[in-house]
Amino acid sequence: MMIRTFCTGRNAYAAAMKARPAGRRKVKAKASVPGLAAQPPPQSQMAHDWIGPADPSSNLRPIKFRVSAGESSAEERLRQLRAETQKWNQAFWSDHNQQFNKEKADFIRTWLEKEDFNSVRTDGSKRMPPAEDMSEFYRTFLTEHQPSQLQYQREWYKRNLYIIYLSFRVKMSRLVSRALMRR
Amino acid sequence: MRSAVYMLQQRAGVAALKVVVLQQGGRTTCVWRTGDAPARCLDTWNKPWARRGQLQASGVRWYTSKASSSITPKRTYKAVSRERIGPDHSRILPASASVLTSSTEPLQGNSRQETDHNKPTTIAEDGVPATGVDDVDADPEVLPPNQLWREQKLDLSKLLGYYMKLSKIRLTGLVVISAVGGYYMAPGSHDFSTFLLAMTGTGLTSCAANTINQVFEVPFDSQMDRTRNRVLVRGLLSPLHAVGFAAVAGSTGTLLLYNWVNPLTAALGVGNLALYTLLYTPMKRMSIANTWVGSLVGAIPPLMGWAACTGQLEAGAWVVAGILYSWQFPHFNALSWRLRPDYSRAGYCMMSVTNPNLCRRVALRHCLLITSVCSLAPLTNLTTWAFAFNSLPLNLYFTYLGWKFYEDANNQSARRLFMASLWHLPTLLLCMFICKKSLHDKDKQDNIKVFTDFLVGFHPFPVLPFHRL
Repeated sequence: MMIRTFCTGRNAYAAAMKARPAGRRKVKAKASVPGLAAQPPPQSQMAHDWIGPADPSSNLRPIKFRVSAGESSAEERLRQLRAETQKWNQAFWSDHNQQFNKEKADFIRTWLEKEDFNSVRTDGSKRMPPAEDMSEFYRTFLTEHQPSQLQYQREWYKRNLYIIYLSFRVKMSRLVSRALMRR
Repeated sequence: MRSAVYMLQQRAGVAALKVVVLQQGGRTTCVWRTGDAPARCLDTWNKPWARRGQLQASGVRWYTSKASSSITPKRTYKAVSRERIGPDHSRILPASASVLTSSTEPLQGNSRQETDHNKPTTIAEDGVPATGVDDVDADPEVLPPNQLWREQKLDLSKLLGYYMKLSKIRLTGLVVISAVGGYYMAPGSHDFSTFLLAMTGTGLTSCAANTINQVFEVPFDSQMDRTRNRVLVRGLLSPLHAVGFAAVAGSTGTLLLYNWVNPLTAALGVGNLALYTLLYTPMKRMSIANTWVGSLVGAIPPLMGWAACTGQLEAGAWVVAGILYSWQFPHFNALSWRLRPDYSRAGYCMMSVTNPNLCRRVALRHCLLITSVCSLAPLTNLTTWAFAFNSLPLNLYFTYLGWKFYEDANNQSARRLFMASLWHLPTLLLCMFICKKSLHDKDKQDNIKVFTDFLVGFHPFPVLPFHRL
């Protein structure tokens, strides 16, 4: 009882605090932590690339690339390649994870059907197949998807190596141009 | 934090935990977690001054659990509600620490904590209320750092930390320790500067190998819990930077070994690097034979250490390498048993996923192999016969755990085998060092004795009477 009144009181206080005039708000802690934000800034204010939180479907972190003003063709090529690789990775993994979840749900459903639809235990928690049965699913899933994984891996290695090579060239050209400018 | 029962909600909103915090003598000591796992201390609560990267804002405080081993992920929680508990803790704590109630049993006294899972009210620790993360307009003050966008600007102050994480410094340390073992067991003359150079070279090549591995595994590491906080996955360094670090470390290490130690050691180092990066890393997704290749990679460092000492590989070198080769199997098979769901989803071909029976058989087989090799090691003049007897109880216990894993493979037996493998190898190496043959040879005293005296001189404890063993 005390917890509920406690929480309600807290919420009411929170609402009241939010409704205060803006001038009296405490300084956001964000200002003291540069380089972190809920959303990346617009392109004109970006000094570097920004990397975001992991996408829930693909578990990959998206990068927002900075398009600098005096971009050479090599830099533009590198940026486009990175953006395209990111999109390709995102598509592959979100599709792959979706398939995994779907097949896992199907497997559990068939298992439960074999167990006479008894999906809820006496203490209220859901019944799940034990580890040996689940390992059967993991094995079949892995063997089924191995060809596509191998193809993905080949493509990923090629792309990654080319990206590293291009970024090396871009870095070298930038160093050279900076050295020349200093002169 | 005061003694209370806290309801924590995991960052992603998936799981909710009930946590009991006890305060003894004015210091928060332990945090018990009801549910599946054994009790675990939450790192940030014990050491609030070590709260790195967390916002000291007027918002929700995020707590990270301490990962008890490298295979358990760190989880981030926020406190959702709190119930004070009186001085009488016995009604909440179970009788024994390791026996925990199931998570569906409500705590005594207040079952209302179970009801509001969908809409948690967040209560910050310092009393200032905060908005919840379920709000549509995500307030950056209340989001944990890893749900925010981060500028990819290199933080030079953290560079050394990034390099250590890239090179998997703990694993590199173990590799260097096995090379030290190989060097010490070799019957040549021991020179401290050569020893230091050999170990540095080995360590640097290991750093390079681990870094290259991480560069190519970024999308796969993001899929698995264990590896999703790696440096390159989080974008703390660019891939080019990591490759540059690997190139510098690898070339420095190899040149060091070639110039000041031995061409043979350098060749072994380069070979190991190539084996790990060019064969093992791609093979992890192609076939289960990668485990055998990986074991070979683990067996080469002692050969490097031995070659650094004597310049050639005698029979004893192969014995030490053989022990390390066999050790990798129970170690890795037990580790991979618990990671089957993650391996399956990320596409790694491991025995534990594709052929579980083989996994258990191989682990037991190599436990027995270690026992037999250690018992026959004295035949190669590597150790005295005391080693065969001293190592027997150790190896028999390890084989017993391997047998348990073979007979009934579940998370518990896998975990016990893995944890045992972590102390089994250092203890076995120590046994081997003490029973080294040259120590007990009457005619070969001088060189070894100088080295042993040098090492023992660093020891703060009273000198062991080696000559008495």
